[in-house]
Amino acid sequence: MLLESIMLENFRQFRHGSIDFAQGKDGKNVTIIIGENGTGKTTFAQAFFWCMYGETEFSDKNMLNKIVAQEMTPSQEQRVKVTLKLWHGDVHYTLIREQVYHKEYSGKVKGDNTKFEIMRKDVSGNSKPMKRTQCESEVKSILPKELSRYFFFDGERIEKMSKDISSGKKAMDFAEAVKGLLGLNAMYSAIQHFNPRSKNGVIGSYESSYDARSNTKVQEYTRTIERCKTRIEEIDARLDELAEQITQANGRKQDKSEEIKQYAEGEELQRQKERLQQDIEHAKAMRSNVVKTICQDFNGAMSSFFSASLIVRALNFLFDKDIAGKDIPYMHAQTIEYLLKQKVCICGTHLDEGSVPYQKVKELIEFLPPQSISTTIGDFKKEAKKRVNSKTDLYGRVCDNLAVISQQDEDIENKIEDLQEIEKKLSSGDVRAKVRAINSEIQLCSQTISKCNSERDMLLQERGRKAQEAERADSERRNLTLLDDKNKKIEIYKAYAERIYEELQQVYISSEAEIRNHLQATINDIFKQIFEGGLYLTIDDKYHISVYANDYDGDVETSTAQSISVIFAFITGIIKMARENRNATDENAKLLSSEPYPLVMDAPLSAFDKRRIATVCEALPNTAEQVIIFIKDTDGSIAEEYLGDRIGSRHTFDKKNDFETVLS
Amino acid sequence: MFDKQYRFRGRHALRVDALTSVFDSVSRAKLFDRNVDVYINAPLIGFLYGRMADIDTTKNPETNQAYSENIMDGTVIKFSEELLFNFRLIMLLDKSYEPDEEARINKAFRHMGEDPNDEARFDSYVRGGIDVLYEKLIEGAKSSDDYVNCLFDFIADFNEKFNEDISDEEFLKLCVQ
Repeated sequence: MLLESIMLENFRQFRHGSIDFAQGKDGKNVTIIIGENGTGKTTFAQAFFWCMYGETEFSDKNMLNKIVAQEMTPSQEQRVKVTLKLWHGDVHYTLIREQVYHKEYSGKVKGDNTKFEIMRKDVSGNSKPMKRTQCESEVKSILPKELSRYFFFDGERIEKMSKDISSGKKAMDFAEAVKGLLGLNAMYSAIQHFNPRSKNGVIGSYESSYDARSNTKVQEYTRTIERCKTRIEEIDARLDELAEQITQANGRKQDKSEEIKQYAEGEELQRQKERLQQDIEHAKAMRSNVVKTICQDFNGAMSSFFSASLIVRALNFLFDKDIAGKDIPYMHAQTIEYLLKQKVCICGTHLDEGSVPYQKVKELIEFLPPQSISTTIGDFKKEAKKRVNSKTDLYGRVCDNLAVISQQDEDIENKIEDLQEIEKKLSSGDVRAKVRAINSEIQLCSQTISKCNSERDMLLQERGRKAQEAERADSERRNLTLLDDKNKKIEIYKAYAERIYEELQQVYISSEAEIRNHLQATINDIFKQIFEGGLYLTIDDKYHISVYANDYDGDVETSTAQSISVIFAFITGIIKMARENRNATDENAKLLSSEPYPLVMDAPLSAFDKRRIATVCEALPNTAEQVIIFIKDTDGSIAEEYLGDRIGSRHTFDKKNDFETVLS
Repeated sequence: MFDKQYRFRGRHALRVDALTSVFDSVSRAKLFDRNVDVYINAPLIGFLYGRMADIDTTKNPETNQAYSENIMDGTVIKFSEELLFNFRLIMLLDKSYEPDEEARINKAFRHMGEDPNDEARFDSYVRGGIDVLYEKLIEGAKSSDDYVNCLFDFIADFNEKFNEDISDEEFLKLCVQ
């Protein structure tokens, strides 16, 4: 199938417009469509679906352009039309899907059922419309719907699929794609048709056609066989479940064992962490002690510290006054007043008022406190001396202690930094608790595995017994049926059917394995072109894809560009193989022949680096016969540079507003 | 003098409380151990920084009475010598209060405490000193580190302003004269 052109009318944001596609003339098989995100690339890709199959993946099933719908009056009708022209083999097809829309008086716009027409023009140039009833089946022969999604990619899907493929989630889709595109579907259907496990299959239907009237034993054996087969089917289903469980538990166990290895180092880190935490606590306590010391020093020395300068000034002031040294020691004015009042001196002399002795003694008062202050000043000086003696270098001591604190702060800060570093490594939390949790999970996995294994062993034994029982019953029945002509015939037919089934299955298994290996090699070739070695991938029998780096043992987490490369390699690989099969002369290969298909995809060129862009651009037009890629405006020059001589058609999506995009 | 209970009032009571509170919960360190330590040293600070303050009557809204912080009479008597010494220092040196030298000597020694204005002057230096201490040591300090740093800055500042030029020898020489 090669696309020739598509014409859109009122289809969502495309009011009128058509695009013609490069079909390989003069080696130009690339069509580029430039449009920013949101211009309608997804809608455009959906237009193909709508035209071919009458459905889209939009949640809003109304295809009519919003502006047209709004301007419509209730008496009017408008139509959405997509015309797709393509070649399939030597036949030229024009596919037209049309849907008429009416507006209700409530303002609601409703569409009729779509009308689908196909014009078919064969090699001789005869053109004729196909019967309506044949249209759907004709489309199916051109490109079955279930396979179409591998050819019409939009950006979102390519990214999602690449993630799915990397995680192995949707691997079955690819298995189906491989079967379909590489022509294994027919054989697969044939195998299913013969499948002895299905009651409705050829072999199954023979089983139930034995005429039991001739011999009740036959009926009994048939029932036994059926019962055994039913049980075997149940056992097989359960075995599949168990195998899956065991695989999962094993995987989990392996993951967790790996994880625990990291924590072995973690435990040492945890010890270091605790030691550091203790050290920090200790250092903080020490620091607090120094703070306390500073305050104690301050309290002890503050009196002399604050008064020192005043004492110096006061003593200097008193020194200038020359008051010191005239007092009678240890006497007070009151002593003299007492003697005068008693009128007798301590020496016995009478002290009569007005007498000379009286005057002499009275004069002494001048040299005694409080009138004389030299004693008081002496006391004052003593107190001053006391303060001087207790004076310490408060400032110096505080300085020293602050230096200690600063050192301690630095020490604490360093330790905290170390601690943070360790905590980062430990990704927080107690490692030992984590180790315990992981260990218990590993244990749980082991338990699950051993439980599943023992159930599996039991089931396998039972399966063996049932198979034996069925076989015995079958051989007994065969002996009996040979006695009856009708049953004998059935027996012979069944033997043929079984032989065909075995043959088909053998061919299928080997073909499928061969194709898978070939696909793997093809994909790796393409992958290698993009990544220039270093990375490779494998596809297992369940179509799980694992990406490996050559110099690294284990799965590589794929980056966006890598993921896109994986999906790109996968799709182009399948298409490339389909083409090779078609051209092969080998009879076996022809059995797997397939049509060429276009590759319609969003090529996020800017996701790749320059070297990869070159290889992607080189690989694209060589793998598919027709390539239609959507690129961003900014990637335009890149595409021109690397794909220039292969581009046969260029178009742009120009977004006018939310409801209209113009094709040019 | 210095033989009865002493009471800080209003904002000065609050500030004395702040100056004698634990600021580091781990070491239980305080800037001033007791109220009496503030009482003894604040007048020196007030005098040296030239700060006096009137009695404040800021009220505690809960009791509707002025905030107050006490020093019991026994404590005052116990530290009366130190208080007296500081009182004498200030009376001797407060030229702005009493320009006449002889009169200052009388206030310090001969008639110490006789004029109630002298004690009032001393008390206003106590309050002024509390304000200085509060501004220098408490205001703006949030963490234990802040307190320690403020204390260091204050000691350094004080040392530079008043104590740097004093040598121990000069000090002792003056005492024996």
